[in-house]
Amino acid sequence: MSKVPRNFRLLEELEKGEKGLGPESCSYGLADSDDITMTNWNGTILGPPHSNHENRIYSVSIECGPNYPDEPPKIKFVSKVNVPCVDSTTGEVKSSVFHTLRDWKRAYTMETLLLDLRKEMATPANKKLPQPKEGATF
Amino acid sequence: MSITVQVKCGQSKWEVSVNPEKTVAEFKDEIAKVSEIPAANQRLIYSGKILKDDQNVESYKIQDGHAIHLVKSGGGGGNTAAKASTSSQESNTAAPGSATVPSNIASGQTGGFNPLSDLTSARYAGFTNLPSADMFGPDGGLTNMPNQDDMLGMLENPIFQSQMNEMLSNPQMVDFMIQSNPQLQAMGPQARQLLQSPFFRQMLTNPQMLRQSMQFSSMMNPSGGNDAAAASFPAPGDSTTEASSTEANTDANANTNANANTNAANPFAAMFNPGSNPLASMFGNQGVGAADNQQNQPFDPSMLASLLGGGAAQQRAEQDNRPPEERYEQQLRQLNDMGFFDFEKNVAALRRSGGSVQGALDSLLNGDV
Repeated sequence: MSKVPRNFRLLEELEKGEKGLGPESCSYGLADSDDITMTNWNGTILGPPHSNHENRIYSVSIECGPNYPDEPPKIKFVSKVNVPCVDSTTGEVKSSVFHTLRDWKRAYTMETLLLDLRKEMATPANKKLPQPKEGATF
Repeated sequence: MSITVQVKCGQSKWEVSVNPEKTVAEFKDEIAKVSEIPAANQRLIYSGKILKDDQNVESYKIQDGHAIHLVKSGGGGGNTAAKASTSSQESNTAAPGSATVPSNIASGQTGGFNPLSDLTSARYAGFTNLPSADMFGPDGGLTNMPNQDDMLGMLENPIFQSQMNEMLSNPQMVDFMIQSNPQLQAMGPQARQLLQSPFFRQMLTNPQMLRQSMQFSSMMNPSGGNDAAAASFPAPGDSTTEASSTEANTDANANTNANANTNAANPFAAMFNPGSNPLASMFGNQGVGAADNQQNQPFDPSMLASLLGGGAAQQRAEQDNRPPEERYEQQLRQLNDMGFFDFEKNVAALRRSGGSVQGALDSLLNGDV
């Protein structure tokens, strides 16, 4: 079975991110637009409504390794956040805990990842967790 | 030289021109003019970065035509306003099915999620299965549906398969599928489960399974009007095909097969009752040996087609004979929420649209009902 190669996939995601074709609740783009390996990305997640995250913007950094999308990217929160699947000292999303990373599928994109993280913040168990002051970073 | 960017905020969208040498703070002032959101309450996001006031627009390498998300800030007096706006956004998208999914407020031009917009994206460049010449009818128009072989060829294409998978793993797409199909809508939350279950996905992406089901459906429904139907159309006197397709329609037992043409007490009796059925003369009391006579009988395939088609329609009617308030319960509630209180009109509009709220709204607003 033929597969869409890594760079084609990432270019496609880049276009989608820049043109804002995806949902409004998350955004992503290359950290350095001159990086031809398209490895380091920035993302933001708009805090889900009706939770302690409401009206907050969380920044994350995403690293798409050479084996993306066969292997999940590494994702790390830049803004401080209190969610069980996020390491409380480094901000890394723990791939052993967060289901989207653990059960990564090739069809998943960074958008899937960001949206699932947002969903994770909005679960009844997580939405009322006390959150650090907005603007604090890891 | 200035660039034009799209600023998106919830359902609203503005095009703003800006000189890239200006600072973000100045850019926010520009946006404030069109959006009426004070610059102090604006937070701008581009490509996963929050734009800082003291930077140039240029430094973020924003290109002409790109999109910037505008988020109203939660600080101070803006807080309540922003809250109010998020909750009103939610009520705008208040389809019952999507309530469980965090409001993926679409950024599309029409404010709705349009899965077809993806079709124009770069991912389809070089996609080989564009319509081939033989898909076009003699008049050059696209009169024929792709025939079965083309369809199967497409299904076996790995690109198509991966697209299919991707589509089904996108919760928004699943929502859309459920919304646009009244039957799925009626199934409620189970529909989503079904669509996302690995089994169903496999079913949709496994060419063999699909081939089987396609052959089955063409057998079941020869009135489909394409050439595959013609092939499976029973020849006069070919009692096995004939009986098996009728039998499929009526859920009767396979054992009645042999009796179908002869036994007056069999479940098909009504269908083959002389006088009430145009085919009666074929099957009357002549039994299986009727084949000889059939050469003399005028045989009109369209009658059989309409008979079988009629059977299918009956089945459909059986499924839908619940009273409208029950059948369209969810849709009616949605219409009520939108301010359409005339029950009769709502039902009429929903009937006309086949249960689609969108379609019903169109006819209600156009005054068609």
